[in-house]
Amino acid sequence: MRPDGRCFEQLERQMNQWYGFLARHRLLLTVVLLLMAGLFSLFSIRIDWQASILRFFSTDSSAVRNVAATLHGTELVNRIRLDVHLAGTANTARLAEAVNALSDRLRKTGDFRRVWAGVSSRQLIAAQKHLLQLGPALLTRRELRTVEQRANATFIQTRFATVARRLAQPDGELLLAQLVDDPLDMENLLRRQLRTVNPVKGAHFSHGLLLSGNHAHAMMVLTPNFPPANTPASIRMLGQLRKAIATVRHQFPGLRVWTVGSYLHYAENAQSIRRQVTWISLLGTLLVGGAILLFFRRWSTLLICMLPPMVGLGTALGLAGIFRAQLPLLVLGFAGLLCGSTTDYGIQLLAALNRRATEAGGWHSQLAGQATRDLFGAISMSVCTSVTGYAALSISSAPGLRELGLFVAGATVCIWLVTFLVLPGYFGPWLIRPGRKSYLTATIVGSISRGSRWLFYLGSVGFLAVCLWMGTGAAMVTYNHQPRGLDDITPQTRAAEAHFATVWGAANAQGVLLIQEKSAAQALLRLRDVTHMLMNFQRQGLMDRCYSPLSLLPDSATIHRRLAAWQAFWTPARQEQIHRAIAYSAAAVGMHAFAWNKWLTSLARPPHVPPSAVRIAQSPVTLLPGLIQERPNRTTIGIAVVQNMQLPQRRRGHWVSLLRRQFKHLSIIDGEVLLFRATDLAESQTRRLFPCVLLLIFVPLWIYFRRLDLAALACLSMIVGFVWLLGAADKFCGGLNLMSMVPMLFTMGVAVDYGIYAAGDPRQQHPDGRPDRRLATMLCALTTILGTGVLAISSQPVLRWIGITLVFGIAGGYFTSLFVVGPVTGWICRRRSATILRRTP
Amino acid sequence: MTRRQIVWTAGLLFALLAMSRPPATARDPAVVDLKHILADFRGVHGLSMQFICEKKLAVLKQPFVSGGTIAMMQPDRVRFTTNWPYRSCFILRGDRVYMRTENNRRWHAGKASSQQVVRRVMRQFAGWSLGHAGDISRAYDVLESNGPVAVAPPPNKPRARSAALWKEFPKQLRLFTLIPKSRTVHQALGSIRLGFLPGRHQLRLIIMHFGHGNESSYWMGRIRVNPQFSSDKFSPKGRP
Repeated sequence: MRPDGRCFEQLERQMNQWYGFLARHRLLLTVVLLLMAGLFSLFSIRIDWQASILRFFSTDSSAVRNVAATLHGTELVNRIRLDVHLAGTANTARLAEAVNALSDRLRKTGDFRRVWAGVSSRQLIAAQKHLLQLGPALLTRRELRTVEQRANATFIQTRFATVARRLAQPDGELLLAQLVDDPLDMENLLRRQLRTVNPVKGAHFSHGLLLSGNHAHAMMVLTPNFPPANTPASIRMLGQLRKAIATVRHQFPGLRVWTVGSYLHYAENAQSIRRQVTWISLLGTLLVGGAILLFFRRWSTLLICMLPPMVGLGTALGLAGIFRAQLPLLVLGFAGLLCGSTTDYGIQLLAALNRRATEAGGWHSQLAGQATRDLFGAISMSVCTSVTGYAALSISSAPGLRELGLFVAGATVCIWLVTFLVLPGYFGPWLIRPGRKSYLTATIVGSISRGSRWLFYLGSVGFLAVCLWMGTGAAMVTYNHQPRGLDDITPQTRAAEAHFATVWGAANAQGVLLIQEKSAAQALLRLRDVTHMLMNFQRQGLMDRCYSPLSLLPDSATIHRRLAAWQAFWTPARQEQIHRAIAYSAAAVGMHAFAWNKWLTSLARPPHVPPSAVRIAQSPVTLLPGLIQERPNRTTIGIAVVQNMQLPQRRRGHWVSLLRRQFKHLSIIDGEVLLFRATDLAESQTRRLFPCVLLLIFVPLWIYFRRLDLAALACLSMIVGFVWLLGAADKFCGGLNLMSMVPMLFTMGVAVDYGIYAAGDPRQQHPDGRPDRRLATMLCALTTILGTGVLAISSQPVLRWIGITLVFGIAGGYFTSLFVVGPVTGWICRRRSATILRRTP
Repeated sequence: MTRRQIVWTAGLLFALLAMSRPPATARDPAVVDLKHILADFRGVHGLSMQFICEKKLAVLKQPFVSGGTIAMMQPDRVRFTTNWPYRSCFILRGDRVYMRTENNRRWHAGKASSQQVVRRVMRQFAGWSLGHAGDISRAYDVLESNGPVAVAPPPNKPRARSAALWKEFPKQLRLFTLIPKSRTVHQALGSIRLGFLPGRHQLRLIIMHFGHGNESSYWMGRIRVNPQFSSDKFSPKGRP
């Protein structure tokens, strides 16, 4: 639709003056553009590139908020676990040496706040001493009864005699020391409690290491100095870790280390995305340029077509750098799409220029303005619809999608400005000279010009068949809440995680609940309530199991009750009885009774339990990594959770909802639930956005065409493209996922362009219509598909899904414009013309 | 070559040599001597010996005396048998410890932390006895002295074999005192004194000083090198 009117004519004159000015100072213009390119590329270094996949998860999701909150400042989830083992039949001592050597190396890197390689002798001794001191506070009622049963002469005499008989053994001194510290052998009772808290399969402490059940694997836990979202630091740290392992392997041939943790996921995904977007954007650009060169056979034409996307994209990146914007790295992967879809403007302008030149019989200076005016409306509408589709992503609650949508929309606007303000300055007679048409072009144009309707009808049948096929897929497509391969970690990391889970079991638990309170007493109370609820869920089958330190950390009230019971038991009479029994037994085996005076005194005074904070920090449970953390003004207690995989996917996270209803401030970190909730949110947001975007595209089209039927026809290419997208998602991508909003909105914005071109040119009648406009539209579609299609061959799953669905969506839009919109528009216009002719007297 | 160049070159060579010298503790004569002594046993396949042990512990009114036999075999097998006053047996096989006393019906795998500590100590002594010195200087400060040693206490009668051992024990030994460098270990084990027979380099005396005046001493005798062990000598089978 060519805008008419006096003001448009005046605008055309002014634009011609401007283009004339540019044409006269073409060299200066080129220098300015090159300088801008250099300057903006310098600014683009300031862009804060984000590679974290979590940025594409909605912040409305409580699961995401929990992850974000706990990624900062909690050592309970920001950890890397290593499984260290030696190939062959290596002994534990050698394994301990290897672990110590590795620990030393890792500490020297300076990247880790803590390198936990097991229990040192000092920790073990301190923990056991503390355990004994707090024994009365930790013993359950049954255990207390056991102690009471032992508080008699018979038990004490037997114990003394046994130790005396074993004094000759190499460990006799240690046994005697244990007898002095603990004549009633309470330590064994307390040690049993530790085992119930142990979330790992049969693991135990030995040789100062946390060993697996078969003694062959040792676990190390590393806490880096930074959160996993800091991907450059994570990548560097993992490189240092691998180097340290390789160095230690020289000393210990056969050393094997499996590394697991969220840091690897972040780092490997970031590296994968970085690798992919670089070659994808280059390849996409090359393919688009190649297609243009192949068609036009002129370098000047190639430069003209590539100028707007190059300058526009560079300007957008430079501006983003000036404002230090945060952009997801995925944006660079869309460079090919941008290049492909925005070279359309240059192609259409060149086609219009050639048309005008043909009509005028050659080049003249007004041609640039005329061609621009011819296509200003169509291209501007195309830009408007594309920007609407891209910018609709800004409504999303996922920061990454917002940034992606806004950047691509902004870049498109920049490209539009360059197309109309700069590009025509390079128009000249060299663009008009007829070039040799390629054989392919001649075949296509020739076959159509010869009026071969059979090819068209065959194509239409094929188009309908594909529409039906895609339509069936679109009707059945659903959201895949657990897409495989969203995480592009390496096969080695995947294998390591599988091996780790086999050996250590729930040390790699699927979910972690974190109870965070200001004081340890509050945390303990909350722990009791939460644990009871989780036990109920376990009985109901809503989860498989959970590992809670409740049995070792009773609440304050229980502690006071137990201490009171302990004090009540040790009456002066009973203490005297024990004192006599010990004195007699010691004398019988040749020992001094005064060695037990300290222990006897402690009976009279039960230990003062300090504020629970101190107790938790010194609890033996802290020897097990991942359960308890103490900070000033905040106590965090973790519970490991294993989901019930027998349940249907949708029900696996149900326990989370139930728990959250009761305990609003719990942090629940569960990978599956996180993904599930994020996908649900993405689905609901897409359902809300779709009609809004449809309306935002349709209404401007209606205003532009001034006719409902043409606007509807133009929108048809968008709708069919959308159907093809959904069908491709069902048939080739396993359904929609949380990233599907991107190709959907992009398709809505881009596919409608072909409908605009087709509906906007009533002279385009098939099969006798104007071949050059049809050809230009075909080339536009080809370049867009090529620029987008490179995403489909990426190994990064997210990019691949987006690429496949986008290609089908855009192809659907183009073929609709070719087989439906164009012919129907021509038919409408012919009928209208005939009606006007009949009415004209 | 000018004079300045010669001086610079010599200085550089000297600096390189200085940097390449081993740490001071490894060059300690005592450490060198000890390693040299222990290296003599490197070719030994196995050892067996009798011992008398005296434990002076603050809790005990009188020192506790016991006696028995020790058998060791490369690379990591030890059988520690106490014959008197009570019979018991400790077997170390690689990482595993098995124990049985005369009152037990069967062998038990030692999993308690005290037994794990003993396992480590036994491994270390066995290693030293069979020529695996390792890097002693890294874990211990070593002091050497020569002099008379305390006489082994007399065994309880009627153990005649041990009586002979008590009588023929040498009076003079070459003594090495090992003080643990680790503070944690030092708190539990103050020092270890090893006594070697001059000339023959046999380990005849071990004295372990614990904290609070506790001390355990082992006198070894009737040492046989490369004896023939039965196939189940180091297996947890039979009575202790």
